[in-house]
Amino acid sequence: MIMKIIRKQTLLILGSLLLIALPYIFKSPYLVQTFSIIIFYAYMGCCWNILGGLAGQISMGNSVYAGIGAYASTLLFIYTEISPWIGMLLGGLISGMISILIGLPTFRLRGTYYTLSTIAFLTVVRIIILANRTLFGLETRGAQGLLVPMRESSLGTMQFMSKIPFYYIILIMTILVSLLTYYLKHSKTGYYFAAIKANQDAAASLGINVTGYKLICSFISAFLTALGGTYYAQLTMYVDPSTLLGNPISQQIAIMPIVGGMGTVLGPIVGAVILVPLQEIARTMFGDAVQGTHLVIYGLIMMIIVVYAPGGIVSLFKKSISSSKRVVAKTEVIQNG
Amino acid sequence: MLIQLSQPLLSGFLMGGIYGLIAFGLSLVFGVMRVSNYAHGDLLMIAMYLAAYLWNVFGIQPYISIIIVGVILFAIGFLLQKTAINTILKSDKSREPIRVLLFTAGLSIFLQNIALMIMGGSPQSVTTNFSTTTTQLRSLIISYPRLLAFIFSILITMGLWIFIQKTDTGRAMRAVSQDRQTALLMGINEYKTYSLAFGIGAGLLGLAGAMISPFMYVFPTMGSGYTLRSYVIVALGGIGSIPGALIGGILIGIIESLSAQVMLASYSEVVVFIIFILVLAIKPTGMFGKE
Amino acid sequence: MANPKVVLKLRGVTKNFGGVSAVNNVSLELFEGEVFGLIGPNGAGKTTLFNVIAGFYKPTQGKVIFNGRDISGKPPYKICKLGLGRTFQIVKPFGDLTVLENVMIGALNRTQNMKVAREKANEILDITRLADKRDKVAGCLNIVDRKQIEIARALATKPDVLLLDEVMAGLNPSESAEVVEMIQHLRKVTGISLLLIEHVMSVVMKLSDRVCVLDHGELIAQGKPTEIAQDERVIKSYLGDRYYANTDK
Repeated sequence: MIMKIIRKQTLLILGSLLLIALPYIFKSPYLVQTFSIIIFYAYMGCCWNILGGLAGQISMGNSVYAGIGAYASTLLFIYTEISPWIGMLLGGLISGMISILIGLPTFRLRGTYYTLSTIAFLTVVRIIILANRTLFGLETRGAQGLLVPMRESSLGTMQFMSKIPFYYIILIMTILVSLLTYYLKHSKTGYYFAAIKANQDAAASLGINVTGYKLICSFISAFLTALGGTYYAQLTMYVDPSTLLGNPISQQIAIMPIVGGMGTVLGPIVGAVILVPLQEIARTMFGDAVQGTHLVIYGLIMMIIVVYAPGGIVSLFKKSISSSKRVVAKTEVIQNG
Repeated sequence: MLIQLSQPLLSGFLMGGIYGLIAFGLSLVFGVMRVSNYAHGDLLMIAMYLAAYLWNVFGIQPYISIIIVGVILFAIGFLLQKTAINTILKSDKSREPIRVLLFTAGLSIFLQNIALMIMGGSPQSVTTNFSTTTTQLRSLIISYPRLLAFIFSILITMGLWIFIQKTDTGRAMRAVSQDRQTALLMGINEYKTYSLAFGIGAGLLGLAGAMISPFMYVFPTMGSGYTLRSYVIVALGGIGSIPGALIGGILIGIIESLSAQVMLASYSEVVVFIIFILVLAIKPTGMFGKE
Repeated sequence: MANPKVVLKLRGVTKNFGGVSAVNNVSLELFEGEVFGLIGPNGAGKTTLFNVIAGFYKPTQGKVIFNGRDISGKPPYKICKLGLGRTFQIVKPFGDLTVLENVMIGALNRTQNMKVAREKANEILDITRLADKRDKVAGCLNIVDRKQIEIARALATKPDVLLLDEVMAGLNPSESAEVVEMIQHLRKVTGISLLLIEHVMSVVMKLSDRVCVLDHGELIAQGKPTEIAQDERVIKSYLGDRYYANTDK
């Protein structure tokens, strides 16, 4: 027992140390950027996981909040020079409130209707943004997207000369969200989320305000996702509606936690670490001309995991630990007669 | 003014009948198994690509290939249920449909992108010399393919009704959807019934897909619009209700058609979404279905 | 007991679905600390009545009054918080969670503190004899255990009134005897009031202080178990149903 705890803690500590030292081990800016992207997906997956993995509300359009967050912070930066950090929080609040508005009519019913509404909402927002060059009196430039204006590089403007600060920013964000997930899982709120995920009627009969908790969860997830949107805009210096509001990103940030281990703290991270590099491999194998190859693989993996290992890769890992414990126990029994 | 409206009313009505048929496949799966099929519209997309392929490569008219496509889609649906979805239902501890939803979501992503990979992103259609034929009634122009598709849909729907009411398999499906425990006690093979139901649902999409290919473009991401419409129609018309699916479909078809008159075509999804939200907010049990 | 307190009162409760009246003008009173049995042929509207009381359905007409408060049409979670709990005929355990976690969720109805909830849950597990299964995953257990979890969970919410929906269904005689014993122990220890739907006649007659009979949504008789057993209308309503020809298994 003690051995198992030590092993898990050491793994985590070693892993964290490795992550922290990564940009100094691999110095190439391209690699640092790639690592940042991987961790970005891990972050977005964690945000999705709070809503989908903990509370069982499956959103296939979660990136809409990343889009809203990115537009909010960038427009604020363009028009007023207010720091993107503040814009990030503003974008988060706006996204959170919008998610509540959407949740009010759609959470009342069984899960699928909610899932459909998430993708419908994403589609609607995408259509509206692409079709309009100005919205609410602000110039949003439709399909062209927004360029994040280059100001002096500083922490305040969230712009840097090197890629390394971006890596650490997203790493910290991911660690914080993972800690939040862990804390939630062991709190009353998290237990209530789990009840809602398992059986809504039973949950209601035990005094749980199901809709209320769903809305809380949705707010948290949307808020955090929006922060990720601002980050991505600052990282790429560009708010691209067809990326942020496209279906692929939304699908990816759902697939990764599911494959990694829905509802677990590490699942989204494991999922991102495994699947994002796959995307690069697919691109080198099939070239950029053939679209969608990585998503074909993702879809296939997702189907296989859901049928045969619904707890994700993390669950397979746990199983192999417990079965090796059984082997150890059996050997002990044999040895001791 | 009425005359100006009557054209879109007609095309909406005709399209609506087809929407109803498409939606009923979903309604059946919902009713019998209480599971979701997120890939519903994507199966329709596959059917349409199949019809296009059979026409472009083998020269088979869609009104003939309809049978081939229907059978292939039935087989796909049957196998999906038999191998994957039944496995999930058997091993699931709490019978909540999350896992099936996730599986079909993965399927949807898979289908959309494999179509994208193989067929490319540009829309295709089946253009035969029949495709553009029309007839005229007073001032109304009626497109033959649309009319034919509508009539086929009604006929198939009637056939479905007979199947569900009169045949053993159909009655088994109704039994399982109404009272699973009793149906099991009566010796109905639960999982075989599920496979048949899902197969039929997919088969209906095969038929519908072949029928609309003469006048609708197919492209890899078209599925989600049809999935959304089907769910709206089932929400409107009630689960398991054939008249509900038809009437709901026609309602959606007309509303879409009329709104296309007053706004950009690309906003039509916005309209469906708004209807969706309204229906959810007002009438969660639909007009005809059971609670 | 002089002037027993009425904890639950139904006044003319009616529930219609479309044109059909599933529950028609039912009035009854539940006294504090009593066990009140609700019997009747299949489809008589018993579970529908429970669903109306517990807030899962809104009554078409009539009122549900709990501890003097009109709770008609309030949402289920509010009704639970006020002190009225229920179990489901088809049990709904939280399949991926352990037995302890299941019951803790019930206990969290009354506390924000996880430690307190865990303690309370363990107490309940001891009363319901589930303590040794505390860390097992609920979805893997058999039907008897899952029924116990259902009851334990509802008990953990600290209800004044508990609605039990056919808890004996599917249990063999020794298993039901265990549950009966547990319920009787519960009454003594907590003074809880119970409203039970039951088909197993021997259990109803043994446990209940009073019984009422529902047929086609209407209350056709009410009184002590011995009176009801001899009531002509009751016998007629049961004779018509083949199931009840073989009541006492």
